[in-house]
Amino acid sequence: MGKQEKLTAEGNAGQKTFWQRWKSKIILITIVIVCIAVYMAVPSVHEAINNVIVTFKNGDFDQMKAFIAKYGKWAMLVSALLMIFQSIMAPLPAFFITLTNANLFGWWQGCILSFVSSMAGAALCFYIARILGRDVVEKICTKGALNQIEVFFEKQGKKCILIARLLPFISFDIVSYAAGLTAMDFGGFFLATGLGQLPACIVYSYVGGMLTGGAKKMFVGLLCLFALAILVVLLRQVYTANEKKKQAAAEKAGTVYVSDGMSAAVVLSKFYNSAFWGMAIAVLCTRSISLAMRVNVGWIFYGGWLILFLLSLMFSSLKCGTRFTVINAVFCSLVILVGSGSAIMVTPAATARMGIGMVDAPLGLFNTIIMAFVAVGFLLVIVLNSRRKKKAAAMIAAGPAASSGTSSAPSSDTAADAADQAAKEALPASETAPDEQLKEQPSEPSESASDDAPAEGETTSETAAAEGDSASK
Amino acid sequence: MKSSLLKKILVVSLGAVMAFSLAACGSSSSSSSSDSSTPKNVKTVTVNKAKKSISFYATVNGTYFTQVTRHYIVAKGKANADKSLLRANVSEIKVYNALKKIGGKPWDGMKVEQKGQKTEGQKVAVTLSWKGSDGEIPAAKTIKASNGTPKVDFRFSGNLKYAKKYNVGCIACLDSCYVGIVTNAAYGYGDVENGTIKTMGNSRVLPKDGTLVKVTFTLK
Repeated sequence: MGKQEKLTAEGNAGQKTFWQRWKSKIILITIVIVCIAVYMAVPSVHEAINNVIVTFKNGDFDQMKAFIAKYGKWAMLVSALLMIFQSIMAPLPAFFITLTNANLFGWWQGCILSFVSSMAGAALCFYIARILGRDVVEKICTKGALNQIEVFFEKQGKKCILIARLLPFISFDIVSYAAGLTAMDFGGFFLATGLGQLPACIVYSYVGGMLTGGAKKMFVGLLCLFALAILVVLLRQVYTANEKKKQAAAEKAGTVYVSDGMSAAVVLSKFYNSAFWGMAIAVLCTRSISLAMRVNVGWIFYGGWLILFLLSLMFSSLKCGTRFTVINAVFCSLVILVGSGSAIMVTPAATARMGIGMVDAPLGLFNTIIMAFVAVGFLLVIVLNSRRKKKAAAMIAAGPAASSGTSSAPSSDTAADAADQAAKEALPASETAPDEQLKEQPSEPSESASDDAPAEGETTSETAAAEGDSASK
Repeated sequence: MKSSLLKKILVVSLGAVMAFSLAACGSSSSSSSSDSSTPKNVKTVTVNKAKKSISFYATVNGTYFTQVTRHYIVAKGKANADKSLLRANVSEIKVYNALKKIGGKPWDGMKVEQKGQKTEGQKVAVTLSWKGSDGEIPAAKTIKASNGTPKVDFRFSGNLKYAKKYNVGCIACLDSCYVGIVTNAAYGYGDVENGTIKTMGNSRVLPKDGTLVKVTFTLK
């Protein structure tokens, strides 16, 4: 009897736990379903939301201003709802609404409105992620990416929220969602968000209230450039943190770890190769009549270039060495050639021109810029990669003592293969921990096979000398 | 062996790049967009009530000598400006008002996104001229199609409501449209997009990319 009571109690406890576990998710999903149903069933809601999307899509401040202003005394509420809407759903920078608010309501009233509504949006994103949980978000942004963000969060703590929040033109949704998945407490998140948001809100509202026309466009352009620079710095921080971790593990195991690298050669190679990918995608898009007539294909080029470049930076195993660059350049050129057809001297240049809105500049100017980029970039990739390989080979041959002092040493792809034998012979410790060595040494068999023909020739003598040194030691 | 092969590839690639660069420089110098005799009224709509015509200036976009487009004339700075054959120096609203000023009556009967719908309304003759052109060139001659001979039947569609709402700058379209001020009744809405007719600029008739042309709309 006592045992039966215990079992029943356990069952009740289990039921309660299940309900507690799913209650918030069920409520949230119900709210989402109701919202979708209202959107589908009520024409006025349908039209209003479509209008908002069209306005966002056009990215026109004056249109946005007119859209909010037409709601009269409800304009502030509409603006706040828009800010929350963009926080949750639209991958758009909040500064778009911040500047509009400043223009419409005056700088300080707009500032308060933007601050309060963006805080509400951030809080909502945080709780959506916390309620829906890790499993859903992992499916969206992959487990690896999530782990990487968490490592960064752990290292930087609330500071990273503060940094991201200082830049209101960065789409903050992802950071808020990610923060909701970590163990970070809401109070800390909210405080960091508020602290970061307030000065930025004041500055952008004040400046935004005064700007008009071309000055506004230039201001927005500069903000985007600044945001990009900060983003690169943040990525670099994530990368450096990971590298230090790997280096420490290698040192512990007594092996050599040569960084995969954010050296100038790797970054430049990725930047160069992603330009080809961006252009190939954009040129293929011009083949679709409906797409080309509705979307600025130039933005696809620049946007694709930027996104693919940033993505490639996240994949440290992708090193874009010399051989990869040659093959990639040839392949993408063929795609561009086929996609452009007889308009090869028009389509890529027109795409590049369209993307930056220099519609009055001659196409020939853009052809010249593209060709110069291709030629100079190619030379730089070859020269820098060659230097990188030599340094990496020398570093491996020198042993762990030399490598440990340089956490961001030049990376090695093919040189690692070239110097692999030398390193193994020079470092008996590596034999005791072969797995670690193999893991950390970049493995790119297809690339090494080729690149390394010259690399082998170049590095053999150096590594042989280094081998001699280490043997004598 | 492999090293020498790589060097050869490098030399050949660089040679090709240099050749392309030189060709590009050549085309750069030949495709200058500036016109030494730029008219004074380049950013206004000129109204001629007696002839029932209006005129304004636009720039040729050479991109659409080889790419399909349904956008014939779009106001500079607006969303569709870079997707059109001619980029006008004036807004679509100014063109609409000018057409009304010379007695034009907008049709305003186009419905949103209704595939195949054809515009009606007052006929408009569209002609272009530029420095060195052989007089006024009818719009029909300035366009071609990759799958046939395009027809032209421009009408004063109106569409001011949607022009303001979408703010994309469309002044003249090569098929019927609910946004453009003047649209082509020869084709239904969506005919270019679905490939019924693939219209683009006729580089044999039109001047080179970046040239300023004078566009004239005359009410019939």
